[in-house]
Amino acid sequence: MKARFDVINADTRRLDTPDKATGRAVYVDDIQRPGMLFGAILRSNLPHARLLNVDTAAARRLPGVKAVITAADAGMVPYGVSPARYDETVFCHDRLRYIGDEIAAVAAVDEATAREALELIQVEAEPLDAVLTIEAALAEGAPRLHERFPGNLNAEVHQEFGDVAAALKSCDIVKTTTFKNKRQDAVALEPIGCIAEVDLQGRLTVISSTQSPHYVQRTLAMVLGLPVGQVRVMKPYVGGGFGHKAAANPAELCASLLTLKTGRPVKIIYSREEVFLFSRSRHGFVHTLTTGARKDGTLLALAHKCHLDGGAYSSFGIATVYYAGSLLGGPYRLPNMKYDGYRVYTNKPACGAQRGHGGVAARAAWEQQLDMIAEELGMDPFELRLKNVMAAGDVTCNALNMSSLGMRECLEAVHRDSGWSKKKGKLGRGRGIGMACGFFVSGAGYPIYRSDTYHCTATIKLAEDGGTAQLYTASAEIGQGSDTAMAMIAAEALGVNLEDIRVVSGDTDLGVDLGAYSSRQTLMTGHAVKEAAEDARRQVLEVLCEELGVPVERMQIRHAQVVFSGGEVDFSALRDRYIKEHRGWTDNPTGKTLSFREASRIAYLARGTIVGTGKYKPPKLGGGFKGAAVGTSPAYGCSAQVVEVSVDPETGRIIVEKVTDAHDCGRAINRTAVEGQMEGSVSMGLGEALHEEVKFDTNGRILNPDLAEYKLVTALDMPPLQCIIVESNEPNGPYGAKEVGEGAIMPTIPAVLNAVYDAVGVRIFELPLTPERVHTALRRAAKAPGGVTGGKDPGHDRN
Amino acid sequence: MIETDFIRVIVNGMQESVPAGATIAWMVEHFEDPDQDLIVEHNGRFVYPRRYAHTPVAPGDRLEFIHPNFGG
Repeated sequence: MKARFDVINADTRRLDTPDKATGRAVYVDDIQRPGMLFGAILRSNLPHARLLNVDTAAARRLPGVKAVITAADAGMVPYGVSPARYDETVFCHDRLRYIGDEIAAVAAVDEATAREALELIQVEAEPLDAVLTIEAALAEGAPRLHERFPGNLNAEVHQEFGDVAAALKSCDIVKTTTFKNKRQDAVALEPIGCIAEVDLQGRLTVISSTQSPHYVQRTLAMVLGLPVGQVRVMKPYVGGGFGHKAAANPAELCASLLTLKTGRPVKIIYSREEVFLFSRSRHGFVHTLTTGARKDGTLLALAHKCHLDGGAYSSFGIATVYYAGSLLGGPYRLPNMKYDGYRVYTNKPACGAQRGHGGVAARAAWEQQLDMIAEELGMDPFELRLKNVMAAGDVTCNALNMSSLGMRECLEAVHRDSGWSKKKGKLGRGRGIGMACGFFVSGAGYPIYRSDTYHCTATIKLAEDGGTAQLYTASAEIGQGSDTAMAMIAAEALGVNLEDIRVVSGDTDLGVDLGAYSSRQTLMTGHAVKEAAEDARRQVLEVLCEELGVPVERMQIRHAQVVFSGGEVDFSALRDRYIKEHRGWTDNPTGKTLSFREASRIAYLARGTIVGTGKYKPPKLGGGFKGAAVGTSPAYGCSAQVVEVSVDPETGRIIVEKVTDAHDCGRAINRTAVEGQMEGSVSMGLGEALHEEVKFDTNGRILNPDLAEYKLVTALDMPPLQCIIVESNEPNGPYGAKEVGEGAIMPTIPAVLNAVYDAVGVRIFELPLTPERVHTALRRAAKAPGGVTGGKDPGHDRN
Repeated sequence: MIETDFIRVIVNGMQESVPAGATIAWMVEHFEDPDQDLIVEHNGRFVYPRRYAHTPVAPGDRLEFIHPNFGG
């Protein structure tokens, strides 16, 4: 199978490795501009208040201050992610809705002066009662955050497929549990930041640490009232995103307003505290799941109710509340599913998308519950999953089409390589092993705004001198390796070597690409890149056909050489022509095959610059006629993990001893990068499972907005990890590829939960599994009738 | 020729004319490709799909058709 490809499906060093290894990679904060100003943003220190007045006079008088802007300057154009929920303005104008809400911004000659000026702005505000929990926000008579949304209900989704009530009545076992995760921060190592500047033609250019230059461009144009063509957004190297950089942010809007006002470049870089305050990361979820099954383990029904603590604004919240339900449609055959989801406004920073968008807590809740069901039925957890697992060709009850699905292969791989049979139930008290599965989309069916736009375009221009190709894509390399993956796809499709491809990316001038979110770029941008490369190759072969009289179908390009089938071809005239153009050159071709360099040069001489173009948007299901719909996603990734833990029964401390991880990515473009995404997902999942939690005081102020108190997983915390790549050859993906960036996080948390149960016999239904929480659970279980007995469920602990 | 009365409603933020008596089911059929995941909001409130055929729209009503599967 591997031999079919010349470039892809290999372990390949990323194109950006030398830059990053030597420190030459340029991030937004490394960029300087002559005359550049520094911006800073004044934020609310009240969780909820009526804004009465903002006096900026003293700030304006401070030497070094060049501009101060408020809502009076920025206007009231509402924006957000989905047009159905544009509930933000650049600055608050009548209401402050959380500690951190933006009130004003300053541009000054240096950052210290800008921050000093913020201190001089006088804000008059009348405090209002705040709602800081889901319960408080939904209570009768609760203060309303947005007049448009009575009851603080930001979004709701209700779906039912099949007849859940009837199915539950027919079940031999019905299990109900409630599970809570905690608000989490994405903690991309590079904070949010940007530089905005206006060129001599009056065009606004924003260089931003963003996952989606395209969405930032559109939002800036809309809010600032500029033609889209007058706004260019570029991203340099980006130090991670994980979701919270997937839409326009106040830094980009404020810097743009300030540069338009001053005529000078303006840089704004958030402090780590401001990153926490802006948030847009993982919601807090409360899931109540009722699952019914036959005594042979066949799953029959799932009733699912979910509340999301959304914070003060919508962000990606409509999608979050939708995915929280829909993603439980797979990877198991489940004929009946009912979902009621509610996203609630609270006076806290807005939550948004984060790796495994919407599905991580739901997956943790359900996979733990499935383990409980397996135990009650006397089944091995693997046996229960294998009995219900879907396969390629299946369609879920909520119409998710499994065009490929290597779920069984993932399960079998981790079962084998973890040594499950020798360990499950045999590790002794304090040691445990658990498993779980995961499932995620490979790109979204729709853009965030209503449009028939292509989701991505790509252009490949062959160098006029031959030999190399420039790939232009507006896609976003944010550290995940997409530039390398796109270069590999381009090289494979064009027939050249990886080093022959130059990638230019992350710039709205290069085309349309919705960006790096929703695990979409490998599949979607990859399709566009492949099509562009094939287009360029076709043009080269057409010229060769005209020059040599050889039919196109008799020619291939591989390893940057033209390969003729059906007999030798005399191309000496082309070679002579090429060499005569390069008198004095020392590297003219001499081999027995026609090189791509020669062919590409000859094509240029015949037709001018050779440019190939490609594009992609998700296909309509059932054809392109009226009545067809775009599906949730063109493809779905899946994964299985086995986690081994040790738990100190005295302290409650958990140590993860080993993880065995299998993920079906359809086809690995860069196997090294796939493993990197799997490792990163496990790291993030372990953090969420064990200690990550954004904590608030009783006034809605974040208590741990720094990396000293917010505990991340570091390299030193990572357990031995075995990554197993499963390839199911996705028919809707370029070369069979689909996602790995987000789905790989899904099994980690429930596998930890199930391993902890195996170790110490307690089920815990609230994250994170801090020593305090585990210790409390153990203590309560010990006091319960029968005490803690390994392998037995002593009852639910909701601490 | 049968004359039809039209009313003005707001669909996805835009003014539209629809026949008087039109239901949400009619609106979905007229304005949308079918999408199993489609969320319909009528004057800001979620409408259950089973109610589409029985819910008429009135002049000035706001209809929002949301495809929630927009990623993130």
